[in-house]
Amino acid sequence: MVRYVLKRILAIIPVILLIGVAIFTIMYFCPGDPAEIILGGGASKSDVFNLREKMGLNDSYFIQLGRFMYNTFIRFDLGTSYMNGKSVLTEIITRFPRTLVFALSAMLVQIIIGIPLGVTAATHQNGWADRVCMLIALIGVSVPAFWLGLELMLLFSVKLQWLPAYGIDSWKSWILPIIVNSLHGMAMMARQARSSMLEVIRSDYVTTARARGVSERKILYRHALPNALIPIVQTLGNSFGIALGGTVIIENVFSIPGIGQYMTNSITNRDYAVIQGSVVVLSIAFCLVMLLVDVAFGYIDPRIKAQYASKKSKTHKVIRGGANSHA
Amino acid sequence: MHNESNPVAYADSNTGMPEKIKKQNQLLEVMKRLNKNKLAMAGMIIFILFVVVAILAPILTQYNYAAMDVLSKNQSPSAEHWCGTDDLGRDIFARLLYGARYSLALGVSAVVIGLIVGIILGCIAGFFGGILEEIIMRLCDIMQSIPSILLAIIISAALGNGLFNTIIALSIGRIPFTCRMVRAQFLSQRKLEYVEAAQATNSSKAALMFKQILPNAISPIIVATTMGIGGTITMAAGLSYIGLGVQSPSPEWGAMLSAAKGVMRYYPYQLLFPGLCIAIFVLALNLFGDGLRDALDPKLRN
Repeated sequence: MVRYVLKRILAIIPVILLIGVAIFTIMYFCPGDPAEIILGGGASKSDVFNLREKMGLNDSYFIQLGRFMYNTFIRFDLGTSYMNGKSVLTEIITRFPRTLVFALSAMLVQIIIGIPLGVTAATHQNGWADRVCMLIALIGVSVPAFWLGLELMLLFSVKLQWLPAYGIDSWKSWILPIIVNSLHGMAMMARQARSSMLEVIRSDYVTTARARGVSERKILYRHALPNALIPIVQTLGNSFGIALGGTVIIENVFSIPGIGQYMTNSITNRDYAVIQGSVVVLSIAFCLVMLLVDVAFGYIDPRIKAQYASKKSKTHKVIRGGANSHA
Repeated sequence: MHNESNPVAYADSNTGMPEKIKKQNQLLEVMKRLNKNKLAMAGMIIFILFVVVAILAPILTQYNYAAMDVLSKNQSPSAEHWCGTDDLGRDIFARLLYGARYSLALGVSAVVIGLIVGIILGCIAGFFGGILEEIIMRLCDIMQSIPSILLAIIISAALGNGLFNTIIALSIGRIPFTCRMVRAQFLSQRKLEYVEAAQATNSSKAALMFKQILPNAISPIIVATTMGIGGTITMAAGLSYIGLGVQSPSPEWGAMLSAAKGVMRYYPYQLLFPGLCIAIFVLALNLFGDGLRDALDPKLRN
């Protein structure tokens, strides 16, 4: 297993580096001159040229890329915000824990509500419980989260005054943002859980268990669910991605001082260093969580375990479901 | 968006039936199944309704969506202004009608562009394999390592606001997704007998790719596209909300929400209507997409 974990960790390094290249390239080839933006519309051409020279914007693509990669990954310097002249990384470091906790708790809510919703739907297939669960899931993917957040804020903070409308002063402030941010992923997870559960329920070993007279409850929790969970665990990385992406706009809605808010505040000023740095950090965080999921999955899935296990023979449970989408 | 259905392989795709008859039967069969699904039909009707509204917007309202009227700003819904007016005195109902054009344009074009590029790349990767496949798939890996909303934000911030730029920003995130799905379909189809048969009759590679394999691999792609339009519309609204994408005075629904946020305590209806429009529109698309998947893949039904 150590070999598997090492292999995964080594594989993530080039991905992270290439994300840096991709983000730099997007910013480089798109129109918009940072120097002109900093100096404002009335600046003379020579001023703009001098600032470009100072910022290194007159160099060729490869030199600038090299400088960006060196600064980002070796010196851990994400540049400075031109609005207040502060280091982007310092700002991000103070904000990062909030965003991470926010995204992780939203992901937790996704799991706690989404999976039971999907399993209930699958075990009551075509009944009213199925319809209700799937309707909830459908509404969850359809309603824009930030709009729902604003409406809930109107109801619970302005009208009823039960919960604070913004900030992170007490644990109560987190309730609405987490619910709103988990909605989309919860709906996705419920749908995924339903379909993978349905697939498992129809498989031969479940029929066999039924024929042997195993109780329906035991079939569900001991035989079907563990196998149905495998494809769900595989998509956990994705649900973190949804929650992390969600924080960007939801933090803006509820004024949570995380990376998302930092980024959206910089958008109106076109503070490129901030936007670029935030995206780099959030993407790396996403990659690292994907890595964790992959490693955890290696321990759960007997097939991967078997591939990397030492020669000691082990007995495996029969597993169905698609774990071949790794390519 | 991530719930692409299992690869669909039709049992009759390699019977000896002439292609034309088989296709008609399939289409008829799908239509029949879809017709039975009331929710899906409701979704389709709502979607068509929105399209009609978007086209007929100038006929359906006497107001200009950009015309400001300082004397009647922030008015509550009334017989004169069905959805009230905003803080510049613009008629919200008219803005909602014209806004359907933006959402439709953004959602459909971004998904279609992503689809076309994704299909081409996916076909190449899935059909030729080898180094080409390796390069394309690794590029997809990188793109997908950036959460899609972040990718849209950074491209959109770099390109600047505007309808066309936003379409580009949203479509780039769709490419790796479609590409991966098309490739998976190709891999599962490539070894089937009808492909061998076509190879034996000396069809060209392009004909094999686009005439033989693609039609057989298309149904999950159609479903993902329908669902993708809904997701893209929500994302476009999110971009406009945070100040990217399409901005005021264009009546984009997300931009309207952003403007309404400041006054929502006093004029909650300004927040309600654009949000409802997005939610209903996207819900309709998802209902239709769900129904389409069930209709195209009888395996999933019991």
